[in-house]
Amino acid sequence: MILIILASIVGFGMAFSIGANDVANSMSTAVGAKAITPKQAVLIASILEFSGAVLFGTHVTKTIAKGIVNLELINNSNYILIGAFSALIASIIWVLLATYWGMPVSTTHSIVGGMVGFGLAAGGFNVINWIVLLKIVLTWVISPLIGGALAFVIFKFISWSILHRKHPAKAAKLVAPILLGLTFYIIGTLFVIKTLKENMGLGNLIGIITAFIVFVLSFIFLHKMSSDKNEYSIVEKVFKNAQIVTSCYVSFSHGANDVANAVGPLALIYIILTTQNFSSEITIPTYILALGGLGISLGVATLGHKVMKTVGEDITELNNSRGFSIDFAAATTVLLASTFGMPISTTHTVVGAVSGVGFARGIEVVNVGILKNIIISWFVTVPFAAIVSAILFLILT
Amino acid sequence: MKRFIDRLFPEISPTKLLSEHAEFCFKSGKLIPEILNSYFEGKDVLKYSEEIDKYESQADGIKTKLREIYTKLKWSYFDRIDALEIIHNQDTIIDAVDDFVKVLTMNKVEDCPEEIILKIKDLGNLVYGSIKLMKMSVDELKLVVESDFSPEEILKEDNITFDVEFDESSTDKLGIEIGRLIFKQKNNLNPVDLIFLNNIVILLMKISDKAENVVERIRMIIR
Repeated sequence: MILIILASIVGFGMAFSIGANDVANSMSTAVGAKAITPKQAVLIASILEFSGAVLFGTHVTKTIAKGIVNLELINNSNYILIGAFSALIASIIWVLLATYWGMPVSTTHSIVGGMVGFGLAAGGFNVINWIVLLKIVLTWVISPLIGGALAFVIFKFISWSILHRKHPAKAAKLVAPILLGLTFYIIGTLFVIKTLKENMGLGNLIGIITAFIVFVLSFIFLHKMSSDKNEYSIVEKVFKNAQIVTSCYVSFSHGANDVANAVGPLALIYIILTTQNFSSEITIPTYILALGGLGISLGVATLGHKVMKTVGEDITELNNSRGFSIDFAAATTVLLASTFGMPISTTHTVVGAVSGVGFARGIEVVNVGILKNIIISWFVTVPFAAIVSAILFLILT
Repeated sequence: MKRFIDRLFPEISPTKLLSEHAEFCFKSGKLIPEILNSYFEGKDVLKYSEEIDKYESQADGIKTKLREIYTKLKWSYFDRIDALEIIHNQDTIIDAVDDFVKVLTMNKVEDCPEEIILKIKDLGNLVYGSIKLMKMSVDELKLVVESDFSPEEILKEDNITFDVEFDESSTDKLGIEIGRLIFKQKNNLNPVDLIFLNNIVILLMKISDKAENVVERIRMIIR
């Protein structure tokens, strides 16, 4: 019981730190493009991070809890309990140190490193599920690339269908609702197929209906906007409204993926202590996801405002059409990864998406040199968290 | 401390900086007709030089910012050289206007025929017109970028370029015409005044030429 309380406190603390720090990165483009104010971002994130965590968080949480380490091969529930706890503590230590040093910290990489470290210390190379780990590492490489490619395509589509038209404002009022409909099609379909575990046909049907409703509503709303200004200003105004939706989408996707970083080990501890069973298929209790979601929301609500304000003040040169492309691409990539149970870094995906829009000539100057920080993050975070987790495990056992 | 994600973007867009810098060129250019009026009315024009000096120092600040952006940030679709070349040409416009005022303070032309005065004033207006168009061209560049190089906006930029080229050619024609008129006065005017007036005309023509250089460079990079 004490261990559950301790793990809950640490897990909640981790979720709180994600909310206080990491959420600002995922919402930075919406705040920077002035689609939403820092206060609105806090409000959106508080609600949507929680919703994402509860509705889609189970897939990645399962991977963190049971996918990386082959628990059957350890076959000692005490070892697994201590290991999960060590992984969580190691991850927290790394996040705190990295934040102190001002390094680009990824809680995803920390927790994966922590779990690997505990697995290696508990049972050696054999207990690590290398195939799953390889898939995770591959998604770390692929996710910024997919985010970038998707952002490139979306921006080029906006460019072709709106910016290069004779009447860009008129075109924006039609195309933006289509893109918003597409957003809701993705969310609706994935929710039905992956979370409710219904068939693809039903998923598509629900997705199409949701998309149609969103299209009609946003079309009516955007059509009312005045067209008496400069055409490009109207386009940006249309996307400013549309970006409110995509910022919710980013927040929702972030909650869906990153909640696992906080509650993955906690879920494992809870399941072992309550069921004494770790060999069969595990089900993540919704209240564990809710606890993580609540931690993230609370972190955003209490400390997130200041960080978001800083980000908003620093990113001043981003148009809403570009911000929309970045948000849409990043959120879609993260949500897709979540439904496949792949823990990825939202921040790195956003960096990939920004670069994608940059390569599409959407942003005048992009500091692609920052991409090397992503690679540094992989090579530093995972080994550090793994070593600390392994040492903690050995000390505690 | 800047955050990881913030370091992806410049603090201010390079085209915005170019436009802000062009604003100082415009302000300096706007003074040309006023300076010429004051000069031919026998008033002191040194105060204009002080004003232009102020613009120059503010414009220098913008130039430094632009350099910093291109030094710190690694990838851009405008070649660093192009952006710096544009701002350098814009800079020379402010410098040339400053030189023009300073030269005017050095000598007072007496008994200059009214026809020449009027033509020089016309030339000043034409030069101001070129700078105004150049500013429009730099602002249009922002729109070209915003529209992701839409053909419509590129066409507008092209039209401004043609206008500037036309203006520059008119400036040249008028300059030559004034030069002829000045040298026709070789038996009536002081030779020093003749050369002085001719220098003023050449300086004005150079300003217009610099404005055309900026616009041509912009046209080249959007192609």
